[in-house]
Amino acid sequence: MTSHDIEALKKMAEQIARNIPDRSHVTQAVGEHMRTFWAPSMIAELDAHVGMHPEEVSAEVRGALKYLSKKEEK
Amino acid sequence: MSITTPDLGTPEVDSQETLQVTIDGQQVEIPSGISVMRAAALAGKSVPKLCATDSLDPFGSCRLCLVEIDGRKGTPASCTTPCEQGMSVTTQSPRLDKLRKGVMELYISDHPLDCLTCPANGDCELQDMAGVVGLRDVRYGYEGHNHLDAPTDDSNPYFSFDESKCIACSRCVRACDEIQGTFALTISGRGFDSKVSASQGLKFIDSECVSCGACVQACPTSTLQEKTVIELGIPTRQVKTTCAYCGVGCSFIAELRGNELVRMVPDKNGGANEGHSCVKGRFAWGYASHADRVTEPMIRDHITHDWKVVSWQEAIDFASRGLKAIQAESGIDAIGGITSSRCTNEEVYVVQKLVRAGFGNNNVDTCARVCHSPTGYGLKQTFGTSAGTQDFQSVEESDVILLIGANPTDAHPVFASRMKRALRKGTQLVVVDPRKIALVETPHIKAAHHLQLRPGTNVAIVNAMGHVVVTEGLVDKGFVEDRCDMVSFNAWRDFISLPENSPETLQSTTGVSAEEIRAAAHLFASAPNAAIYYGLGVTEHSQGSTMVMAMANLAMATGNIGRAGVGVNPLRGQNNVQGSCDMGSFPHEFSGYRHVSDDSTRELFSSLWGTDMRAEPGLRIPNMLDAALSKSFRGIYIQGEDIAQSDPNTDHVTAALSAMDMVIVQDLFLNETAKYAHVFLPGTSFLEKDGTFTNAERRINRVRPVMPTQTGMAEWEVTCALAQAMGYDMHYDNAAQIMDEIAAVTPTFAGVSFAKLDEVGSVQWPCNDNAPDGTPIMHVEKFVRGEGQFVTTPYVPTDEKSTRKFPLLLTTGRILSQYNVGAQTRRTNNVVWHQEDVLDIHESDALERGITDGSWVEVSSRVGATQLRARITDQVPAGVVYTTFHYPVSGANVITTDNSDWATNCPEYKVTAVQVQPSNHAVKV
Repeated sequence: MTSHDIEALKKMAEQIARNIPDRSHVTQAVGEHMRTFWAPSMIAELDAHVGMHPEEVSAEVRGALKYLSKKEEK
Repeated sequence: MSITTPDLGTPEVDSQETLQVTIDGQQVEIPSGISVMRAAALAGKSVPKLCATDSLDPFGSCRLCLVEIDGRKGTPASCTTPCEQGMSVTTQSPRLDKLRKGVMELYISDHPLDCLTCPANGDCELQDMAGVVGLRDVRYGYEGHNHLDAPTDDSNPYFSFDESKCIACSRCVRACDEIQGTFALTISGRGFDSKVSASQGLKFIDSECVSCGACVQACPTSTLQEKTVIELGIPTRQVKTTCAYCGVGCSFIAELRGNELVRMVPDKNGGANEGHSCVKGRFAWGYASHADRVTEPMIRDHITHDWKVVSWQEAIDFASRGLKAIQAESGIDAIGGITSSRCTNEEVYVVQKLVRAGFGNNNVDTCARVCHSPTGYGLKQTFGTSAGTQDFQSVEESDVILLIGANPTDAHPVFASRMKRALRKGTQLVVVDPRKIALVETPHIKAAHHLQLRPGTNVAIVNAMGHVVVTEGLVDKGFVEDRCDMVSFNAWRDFISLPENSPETLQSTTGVSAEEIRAAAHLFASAPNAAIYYGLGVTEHSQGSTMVMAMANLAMATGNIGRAGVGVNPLRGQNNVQGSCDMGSFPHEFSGYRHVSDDSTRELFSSLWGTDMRAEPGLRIPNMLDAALSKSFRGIYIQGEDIAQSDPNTDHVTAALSAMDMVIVQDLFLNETAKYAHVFLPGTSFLEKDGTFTNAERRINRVRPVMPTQTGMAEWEVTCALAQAMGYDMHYDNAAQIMDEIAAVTPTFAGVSFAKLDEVGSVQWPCNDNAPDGTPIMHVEKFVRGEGQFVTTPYVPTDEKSTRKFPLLLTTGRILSQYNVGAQTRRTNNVVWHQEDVLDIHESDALERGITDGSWVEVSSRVGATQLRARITDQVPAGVVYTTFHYPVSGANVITTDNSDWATNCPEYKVTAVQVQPSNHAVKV
């Protein structure tokens, strides 16, 4: 699987979380943005890293990853 | 055979009404308002002329076009006499013959009689007219007082000015005024001493002349003459094609002798340029035959090895072996490709097809990633499609233009001339830019407002304008209620009304006074037709996508969408940015901007291409480079791009390229990226290509092969050969077949074919059953997405902040004579105007640092440092410095960071915190 610079992924995700226009559904909007524009390997790698280091990202990014995981399960 | 349209003498008049006139006994119906000269020409009775041409307003100075009109005294000039109902005109009579011959005698008595050795022999209107009037002798002789010893000004690298051949018809002066809008030329002196003068007596090279070539085009003699014509002779054949520089997409007639290009003449039937040109398109095409061109494929095992010239087959086999080995070792996703906005739609389409179908992944991206990807995102969210809303002609109907982060006189000069014509007629201009660009104030133009904001605060400015529109009752309620999604409008209205978005709150952020913002907002919102034009100063920010949506909000709220004179219009940087995006170059979209997750679209492509398509997005350029550093992305096919020079944070880019095992570069020259390549596939110049470019107004223009390829293979053929070698059967007989496939799979291109373009000249997409003639203006009845979508656009400052260590903000751009990384223009005589990139710095910042004009300085950022010469100027405000990136040695992108737009990863080229200090070391590595 393609592996990525985890710091770059965290930075990108946090930037999306800060800027995403839909402030009332941030986690879902961030998740959808990632699903629409990110390669699956990027999401998977960030998800794996955040799973081990949840404190390194914001609640919005954690929520977005959780939203995507749930969507995947469905 | 000539494909040049006949010159009808005076301009066309847009009139629905007609008149009946009689020309030499023949009754004709003509549009109301046209001149007698044009009416005669339309009736096939062309009147002799010298000072008249249909690209310029009539002037009436040469006295050659005299006619007789029943019931009128004398012999009026046909160029300045408008037709009237029932008018009866005689264009030939003994009296007229005598008068015209007399006029010609006067001209010829003061003209060198060197026709046989004159560069314009056979292409000279004076010579033609002498023949037409039957001039056989000159009663005055040739020994009188004359201008035959007048000097020749050869200072311009592209054309010469031979004053001895000038007939003082003023066509050049009027072309500079009316068409180009520079007003560099004048007629100085009076009577016999009248002469054309550049900037009142300067040599052309030292004058305000911008070398657009309009004067050369207008000259009826050899006075202003292309040096290539002087050197090579009159061309013998013509091919209509499209310029390969900026996103204006000018149509040209390439004129050749055999396969040798003599000159490029702007096509007056060109939809984008209507006969105008700039110094790049008109003259700077010599790079295509430059000695640096590499025309044979080359390979090497390692980037430290010397290149080995090989056959096409060897190169393709070497490349495919490398790519297949990588996929076998590291997985299917370990390779990808980058398409180029300098290539044709057809060439781009086959590269993304190679990646999706041949490589089996969606790891394809395009250089638009680093310029207009936020346009794609923002306009799709709000309007429903990723494209500008207007045709270029629309600007002439605008009452107010809001120009944001664009410098058209340098980067889109032919569109700028069109814009300047509108401004001279009274259109008001609001410039939003940290720099004092040329359009802010010239002797003939003055912007109503220059919102000289701090770099990085675009969103704050437009939000503040939106606040004024909403809180001061300037919303076009009818438009919003009829055309837009009200839920989204209400949410935006509530957001934008908040005090945090008021001009008063944001003035400390933007550096622009609340009064100025309010006045600009009023001007924009109150205009019958207000249009937004923007460039990379909008998109290349960490909030680029937000800004595009903020502008769309402003346009919708004020009802400025869906008719002539309004709209939201990206000025695309490269010739085929629009097209490369349209063709499915982004990793998440197929052609026509359809997401890869859309089942029906994927099935369409899977079925046609005979292989399953992936439903998830691939990697973007920055993601590919990041993955390369971790050795999980190891091979890349780069079509016509120089990412080692053009992409930000050069050290990061070159480290990533160095880490890859198979870098394939397809280009004209061994560019900076090729230093890290294992395979070099020689590309073709636009003069050798067969295909289409799509310009910033969605106009699809034909690019016709002017001469045979220097490499022996078209670029799409090379891509197909690589696909075949990779095991994917991709074959076309010609480029037209590729367009046919594009049309078959892309609804907005459904009606496009080479045959159609050859028939009508050009079309603007969407071109399909609903719009068989194309779509000059979009969203007329409804938005592409149905209802216009307002989006809340909170201002989120960039992470890139000035500090005590890096107190200045660097912004970047390009200048008129050079183009992007300079690969083309540095290999032309355009270097006479720009030998090096310099750092523009305000006097106060220079003084504070002991920097003098022309001295070397070191510019350092958080990621790197470079050295440039300083230019002290008030074009930048204190606290802001500016440079161009046309020379690799300048290292402008050594200092730009890898900050990027939140939605698209478009790099934040326009804001880099730097320190500037005097440098004792001018040695560049």
